[in-house]
Amino acid sequence: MGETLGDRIGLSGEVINAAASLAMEAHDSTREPFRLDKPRGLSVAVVAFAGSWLPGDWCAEPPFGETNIDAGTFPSLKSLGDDGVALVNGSFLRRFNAILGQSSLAEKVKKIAGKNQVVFTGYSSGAPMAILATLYFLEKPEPNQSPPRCVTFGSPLVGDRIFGHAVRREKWSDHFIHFVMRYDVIPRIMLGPSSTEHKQILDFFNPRSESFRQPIDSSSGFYSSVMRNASLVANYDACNLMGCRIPALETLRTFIELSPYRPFGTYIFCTGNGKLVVVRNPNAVLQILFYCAQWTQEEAAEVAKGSLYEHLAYKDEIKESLGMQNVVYLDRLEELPVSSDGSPATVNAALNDLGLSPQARLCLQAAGELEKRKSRNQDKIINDYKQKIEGELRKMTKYKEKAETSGLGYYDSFKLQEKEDDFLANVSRLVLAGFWDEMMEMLKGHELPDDFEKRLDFIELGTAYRRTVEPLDIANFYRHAKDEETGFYVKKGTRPKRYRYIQNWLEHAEKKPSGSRSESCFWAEVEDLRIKTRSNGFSPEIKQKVQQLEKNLIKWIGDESLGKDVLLENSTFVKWWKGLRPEYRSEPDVSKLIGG
Amino acid sequence: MNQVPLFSSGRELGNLIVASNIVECAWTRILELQRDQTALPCPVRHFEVYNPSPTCTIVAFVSSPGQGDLVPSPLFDFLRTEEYKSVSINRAALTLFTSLHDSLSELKTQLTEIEGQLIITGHSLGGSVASLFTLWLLDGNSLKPKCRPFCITFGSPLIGDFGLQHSIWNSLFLHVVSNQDPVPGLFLPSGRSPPTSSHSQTTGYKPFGTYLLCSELGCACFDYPDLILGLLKVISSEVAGGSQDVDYGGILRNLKERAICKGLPQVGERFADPFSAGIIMELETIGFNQTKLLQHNIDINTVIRKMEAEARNLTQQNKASDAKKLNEIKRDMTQLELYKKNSKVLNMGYYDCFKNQGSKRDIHVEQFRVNLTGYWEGMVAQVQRKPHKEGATFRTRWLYAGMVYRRMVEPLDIAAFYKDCTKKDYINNGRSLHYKLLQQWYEEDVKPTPGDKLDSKKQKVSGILTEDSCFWAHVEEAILSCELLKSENCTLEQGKSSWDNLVKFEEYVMEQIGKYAVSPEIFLEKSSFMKWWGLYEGYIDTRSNSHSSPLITFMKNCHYTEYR
Repeated sequence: MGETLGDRIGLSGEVINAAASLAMEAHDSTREPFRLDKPRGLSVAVVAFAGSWLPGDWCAEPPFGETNIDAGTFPSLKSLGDDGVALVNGSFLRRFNAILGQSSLAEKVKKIAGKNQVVFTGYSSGAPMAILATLYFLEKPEPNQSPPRCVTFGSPLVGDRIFGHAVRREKWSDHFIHFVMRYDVIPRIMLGPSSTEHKQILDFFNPRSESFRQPIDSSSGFYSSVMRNASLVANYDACNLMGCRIPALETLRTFIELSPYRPFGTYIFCTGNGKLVVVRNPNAVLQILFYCAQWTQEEAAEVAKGSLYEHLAYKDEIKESLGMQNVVYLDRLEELPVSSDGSPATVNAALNDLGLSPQARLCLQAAGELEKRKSRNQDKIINDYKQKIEGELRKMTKYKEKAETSGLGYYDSFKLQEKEDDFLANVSRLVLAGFWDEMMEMLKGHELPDDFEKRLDFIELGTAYRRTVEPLDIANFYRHAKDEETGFYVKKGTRPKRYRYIQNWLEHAEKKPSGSRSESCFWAEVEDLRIKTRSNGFSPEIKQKVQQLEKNLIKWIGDESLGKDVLLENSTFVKWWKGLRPEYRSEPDVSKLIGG
Repeated sequence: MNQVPLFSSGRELGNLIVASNIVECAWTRILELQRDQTALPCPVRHFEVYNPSPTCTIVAFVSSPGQGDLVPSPLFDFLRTEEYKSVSINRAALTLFTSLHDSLSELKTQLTEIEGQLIITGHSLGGSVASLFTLWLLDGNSLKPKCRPFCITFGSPLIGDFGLQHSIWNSLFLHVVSNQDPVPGLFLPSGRSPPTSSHSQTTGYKPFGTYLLCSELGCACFDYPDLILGLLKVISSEVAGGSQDVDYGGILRNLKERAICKGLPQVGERFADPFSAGIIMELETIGFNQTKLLQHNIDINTVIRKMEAEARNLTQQNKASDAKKLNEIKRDMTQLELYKKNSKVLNMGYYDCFKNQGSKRDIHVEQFRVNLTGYWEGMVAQVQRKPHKEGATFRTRWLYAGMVYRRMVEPLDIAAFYKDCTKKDYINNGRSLHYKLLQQWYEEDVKPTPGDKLDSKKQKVSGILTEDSCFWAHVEEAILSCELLKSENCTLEQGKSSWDNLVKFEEYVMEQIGKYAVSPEIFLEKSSFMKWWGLYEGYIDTRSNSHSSPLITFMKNCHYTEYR
């Protein structure tokens, strides 16, 4: 007996079946927003959510109804670069927040689960509730309890690319299993804007609608509409996966409106003949969502009808498929056969069962190659750049120590640029900037694995780099009086990405608020206040800033995130602070620090 | 080492284009205009402006094709590049464009006011005029930054002998061509060219932009000019003339349906590498199978290899490697900064140190000069491949870095030039083109310092690089003039011109000093400038007619000791 699907994904067939039953039941419940159950004989607690067929609960604001996720509830779902917070479907988020606010979800879950693992589940629009609930509990892990899991059936898409990126960065991706039937229309519906076709589809499912289970007029119309929108997103993403350089693409992008939503987590496609195809690469999932639902003109009516009825068939289909254990994992996408009689035979048969054309298979290969390229980039950084960065940093540390013994500190020494050592430090600074800038551009271009920014070794190395070298960038900035051209150093567009991003990494890893780890900008604050306190007048605003600086100084010297060179007798800081008018200075501890 | 596999996404982009409504939307306006034309016999309107929504403007052109010969056109000279040194345009397109010139000028003024989408479209010769009009709008950057132009033509003949491969403008042109439409390849030599046009006048046509080629079965995008030329030729020679009215509306509707249908089995899938497989399948989709390619002598393997080489070249250029290179170059600049600093200690300045080549470090610095020059010559060449006046030549970051480079490194080139005693007149005989262009672009971009900023310039003068990177060439010429004046076999005429040079030089230097635009290092004891002053002072003291100037006063009274 080989490895079962349950072994691979860490959820047994029994649990999945139990989840499917409860999810379908809970979906139609009008009284309670979720149901909890502890299936007999299983060591899990299942929580399933109700759904809704009201168009307003799917997309309240056309065209796509996306909104910023709220950072308070979901602090991890954001980019650590410049791309901001994740976008989610606003209607789903609102419904989830209502559940969270009104029904003491957290307490009830804790009570029923005890020490058992919790499996959140949902069917159709109940699924997004399960996804958000899982994320909510992943964001605040309970000690002594294994992290929650999520299983969905026929789920619509919930979040955008950053949403998926953040989930993968946090290594939560494996917690989410999405079952999708080959032609089911619902998992594709959010790839298009809110439309009359969407309403037709939801009305078909809605028991309170007049058109409930009535054949939709021009049955193929709604399906072509959904598929056309899916094709826009899939083709656009495919162009990018394939590194398309055809010039019109760029211009076209500004002329078409694309859905922001993208799949994330592990998808399990039910081919319809009992086979299950497991795909984890999010780009590949999107391509399959489009290509496996393509039709031929002859089968149009049948496929359109199937796209509705398949959404109703999850419970039985899954039970049957899990029993057969005919599972294919599409893992090494770049090696997939392009031709419909290629090898390996099992993989090829699965691709045929999903009806994937050679064009589709090339798209999947491209999705696989992209991931491969990302890990190659990471390997280059780990095996080559890391060592070189450490070497340069050692030189910098020596420079710093040497400058300190001469009584001036490396910030001021570098600013003066009088000795050969200062020049050599400048060369090192640029060598280091070269490595880090390249890495930051890779991150910006999504050319590194999603979890790169969570690697402890690089957070550490980056922080050491930032604390040691950023003062020199600041010295260089004020040496060339660049503030006269561009303004204060500490703002976006002036302060280099390599420092801003690395600071984000650390703050995120330590779960500290944004901006709390700005110790490497200490010198910029000093320079800025030096300029501002040159004039004779007194300003309470400046006094407040000086106080903040003093407080930070004491804190950062205390936790050793700021170098003691700041306190050397001849440093720019000490000279400025001593010459400061008394009404600005308030912190007696600072004089103690300087004195001692 | 195994190379990273590449992919070709011509079909994906093609399907994306037909599934979006933009092409259909353009075609609808063309139909509308054609209908109006037949309804109102005169005067014939060749173009019309539509506003389907507040954020979208469509300009549509219609006309039938005419003669195929190319004529030079000064109006489109701005399209010249290093590769395409002159620009010729199809006579018929140019004639129609010129006849509409007045009303189009008016339209141009109108369009410079709009924001949002601007689609410029046309059918057949109307499409050629649409392309010309779009290029004309792009020239000089008169559109608002928020206005997004896109030119979409249907079945339009080629319009000229220029290319836009290295220009961002290339992305703004989309040409839709049916494999049943002979018009686009009409003027190509082996196509069915009208008998009147002579062969030599028609061989120069070059496609530009993106081509969306369509068949019954599907569509695909192409941007490789040689391949496009080949395909258009074949289409033109295969389709009997006369079938002028290709129904692009019907074609687009069919393709839109096709884009969500399962594809047919294809031959391309047998190819081992995804790039070749992709292109073979793209060609099959538009009705060019292997047999047909062979029949028409299109050596597809060679074409694919060339396309692949070009694609590989492009994938290596990205922001990550750009950032890395710029930092490497800054590092070399730092080495020069150090060299400059250490030279100052020798009381000579880095210009004269380098000229004397007295020590190891002077030889060492040569390597950095070579690196820097190589990098900047490459950067300048990249810009030169674009049409003139495309707008911003460089990103600001590079414009400034290029300025610092020129001020720092060009003196070393000058030093090397004058070290060879037989050489004269660096500015006309020795100056490299890339310095001239870097200077020109910088000066076009930067406004001169206003007078009230002089004070802050004065404060910083000790650290600056001399602003005129040719300063030392002027000094060398002045030394040569002095030497000539002092020599015994100096003719009267030579004497006069040398003297004129020196007077001009004095004025020039004084002006630079007044603007705080020269580095105080020129006054270092052993610098060439001081050498000149020694020679010159000696000469004017022995001269019979007395001569005075602000510079002489400045130098004699040692005012330069306060210039720092």
